[in-house]
Amino acid sequence: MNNKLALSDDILMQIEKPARYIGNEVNAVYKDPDKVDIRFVMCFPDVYEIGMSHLGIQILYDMFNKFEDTWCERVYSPWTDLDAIMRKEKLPLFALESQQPIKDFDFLGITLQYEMCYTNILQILDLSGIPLYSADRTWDDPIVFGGGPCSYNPEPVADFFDIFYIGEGETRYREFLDLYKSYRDTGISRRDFLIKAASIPGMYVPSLYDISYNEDWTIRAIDPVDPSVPKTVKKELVKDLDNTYFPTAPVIPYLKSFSDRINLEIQRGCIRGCRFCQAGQLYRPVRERSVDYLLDTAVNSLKNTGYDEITLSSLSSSDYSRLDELIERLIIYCNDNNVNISLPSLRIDAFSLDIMSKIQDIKKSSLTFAPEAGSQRLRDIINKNLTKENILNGCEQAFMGGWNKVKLYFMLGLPFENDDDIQAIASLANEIAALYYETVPKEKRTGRVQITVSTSFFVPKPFTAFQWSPQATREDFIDKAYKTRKAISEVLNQKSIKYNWHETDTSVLEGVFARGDRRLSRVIMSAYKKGCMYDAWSETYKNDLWIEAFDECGISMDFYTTRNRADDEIFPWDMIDCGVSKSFLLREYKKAKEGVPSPNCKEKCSGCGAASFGVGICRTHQQ
Amino acid sequence: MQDTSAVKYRIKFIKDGALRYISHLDVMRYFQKVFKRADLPVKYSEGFSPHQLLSFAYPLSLGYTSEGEYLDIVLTEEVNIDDALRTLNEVSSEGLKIRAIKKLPEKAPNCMSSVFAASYDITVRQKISLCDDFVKKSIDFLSQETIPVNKPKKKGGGFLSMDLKKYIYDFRFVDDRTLYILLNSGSETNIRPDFVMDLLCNNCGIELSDNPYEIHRIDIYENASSEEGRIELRTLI
Repeated sequence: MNNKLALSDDILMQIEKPARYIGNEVNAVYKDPDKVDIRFVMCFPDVYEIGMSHLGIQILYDMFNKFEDTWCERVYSPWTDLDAIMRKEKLPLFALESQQPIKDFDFLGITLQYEMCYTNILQILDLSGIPLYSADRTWDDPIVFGGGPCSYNPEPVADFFDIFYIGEGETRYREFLDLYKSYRDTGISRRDFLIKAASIPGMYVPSLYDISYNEDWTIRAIDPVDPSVPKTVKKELVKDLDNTYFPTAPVIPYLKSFSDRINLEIQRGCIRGCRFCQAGQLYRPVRERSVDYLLDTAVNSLKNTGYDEITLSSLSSSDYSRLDELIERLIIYCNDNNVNISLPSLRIDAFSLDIMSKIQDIKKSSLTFAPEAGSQRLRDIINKNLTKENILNGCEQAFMGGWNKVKLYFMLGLPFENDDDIQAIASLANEIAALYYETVPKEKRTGRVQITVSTSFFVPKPFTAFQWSPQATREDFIDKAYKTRKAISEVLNQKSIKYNWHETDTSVLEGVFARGDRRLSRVIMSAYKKGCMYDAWSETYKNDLWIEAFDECGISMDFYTTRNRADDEIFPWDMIDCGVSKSFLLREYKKAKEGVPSPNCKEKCSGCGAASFGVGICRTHQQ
Repeated sequence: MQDTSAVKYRIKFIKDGALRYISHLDVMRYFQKVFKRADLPVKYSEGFSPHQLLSFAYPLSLGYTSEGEYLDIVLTEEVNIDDALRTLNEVSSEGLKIRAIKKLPEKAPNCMSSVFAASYDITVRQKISLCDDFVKKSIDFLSQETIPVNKPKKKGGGFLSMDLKKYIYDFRFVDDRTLYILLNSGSETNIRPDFVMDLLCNNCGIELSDNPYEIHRIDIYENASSEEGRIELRTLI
């Protein structure tokens, strides 16, 4: 417990939700600063309630604090109300546990979960009093680490970070901390230390790579500045998920976070290989945790926290090979202890409906399908292995089982999409509605069937088959959303269908950063100086300031989004190796053009390259 | 399922230190988890999403500290009170420790409907400059035969004219900035401690700024008298 707070009572009483800034949560770790060698602070650059919902930080927090010589704390973005006060009163940003300034720490680790958090990174550095550009930092500043999915193409923010940790954090930090301890007091320069760090697998030090450009703005070459610096940095991954760090006493926020429950990761990776999906490639190969390990972890976590809900998370839970056994055993404990189980990411079929009827209130819950594309043609292009028959069969069984709410998720602007594909979204929703009225007799109906169609705009991501693909323009996006709405309004059962779509402006900016390069850091800096922050929040997103920033820097957004890329173009992220080869992705892109789907990892190995890790499903296949 | 067993307990707890910045709603959620961590035989409501049978006496405003908060919980069986107290405190945050547990009679009204009065220490912060005779003037003010005031209504705006004197059961100055006061807290009148201190400061023409007081709740009382018009205050445990 620490009652010495960094913020005064007057400040805490005038801001929204002061509990965001006081630490002292149950299971938060407190150590004596005089008895540790290393002070690490983990940051999720968004507001507390979002950051506290993130499992990755909880895993690393648990790991670092198991190291006796290290105290790991947390920090989140101060909301705009506190931000204004801190700037006005020149208060330094502090860590939640010790309430001490971030600037005095050895390390600041920032997780990059989405592109729209980039200005918040600058806010964190700025409020901490840490120079925003890595080049301007000295040993008086913490070493700034980046990690998480966006660090697979960290180039738009490369100039703001000292090191990116590529891959799963559980494997190399110990080695890195030991290196730090052995060099810190030897008088080594910060840059020389970073060169040493770059030889640890997974450590990408952006300042050690020179990028040269062609006249057409594309990249000519990526060259390490020192022979000891590797040409490519291969992602790190955990080989055995039953023998690694996983918190059984996660920190419990007092504030209601977006995930007020235990989050149990049952497996990592995905066998599916959907061509639009970045996570499906980044976390290959799929590795499962054992049922015994999961049950043990579930029970301990529930006991140590008192949560009344546990969610089994993964990219595609139906693919977990012993799901029935896991649920059957977990349900016994949960029923006895008044704990609910939630299971997102299920493919809807007889088996999953049976599970769902056991663990949820049918009246309240809805069925979720993510066909992603309306037509079979386009689903084959994106390799989404879900047929109309799968969907209709699932719905029919669900309707008979008492469900009457269906949610459908689609993407607009997928490569090779045409108007018929959009029309097919409306037809599919209409067919599902009609099926309800055919399946459920009048006397058994509880009102009208409710179908919700949601569309998001497709943004091509690095390390996917569509990394070569042009992104749709803003105008195309709006046009496609309009056509979807119109098509839905013209089907017979339109009264049973509700349509939602997402913002367009942020999708364009997200697209710029997703496949962006280092030259964008000045744009991010400029937008931040103009007042952009919390770009992921529609209420604080300022598109006009972003447009100004791009104009002033003389950088075109279209170069990054709507342009066609040559097969052999050097990408800004080519120094990163996620295990999946570029040639495999190009093969997949060509198959997409021909509308040919690929098998999943369980059906047949497609030779993506992840077998080089020799673990998980790749190892099972070899045997 | 038959309602075979239900034993009511009342718990007295503190809210202190950094945790004074946690809202009442957050405290409620916190305790649900505390009871699960302590593995007490908590009784749950029926239905598809069962919840603990838990009720709180009197929400404490965010920023106030307290050494006398109360909640009632229903268990499925009787427990040893000393053991329960120890187990609960093992899994409690330092700023939300349990002070006492008491078994309630079967027909006891719940703590919320029992609340009749609450006592506070109200300290005017150092940043506010007080006049020299603040204490004397305030004592005189509170000692009047009647104290007619207009209290803002809880709902719908407007003011309620009332005699505040009837709702102050005790007061004294602890030091030159701190007033101890025992106030009515019934659901109809409910006098806020800062409302009284505002009156005292206005009475002396003292200029107030934001967040002028530090407020500490000492205890909550019920009226133990069954006689109409008589008041006999007794703490909830």
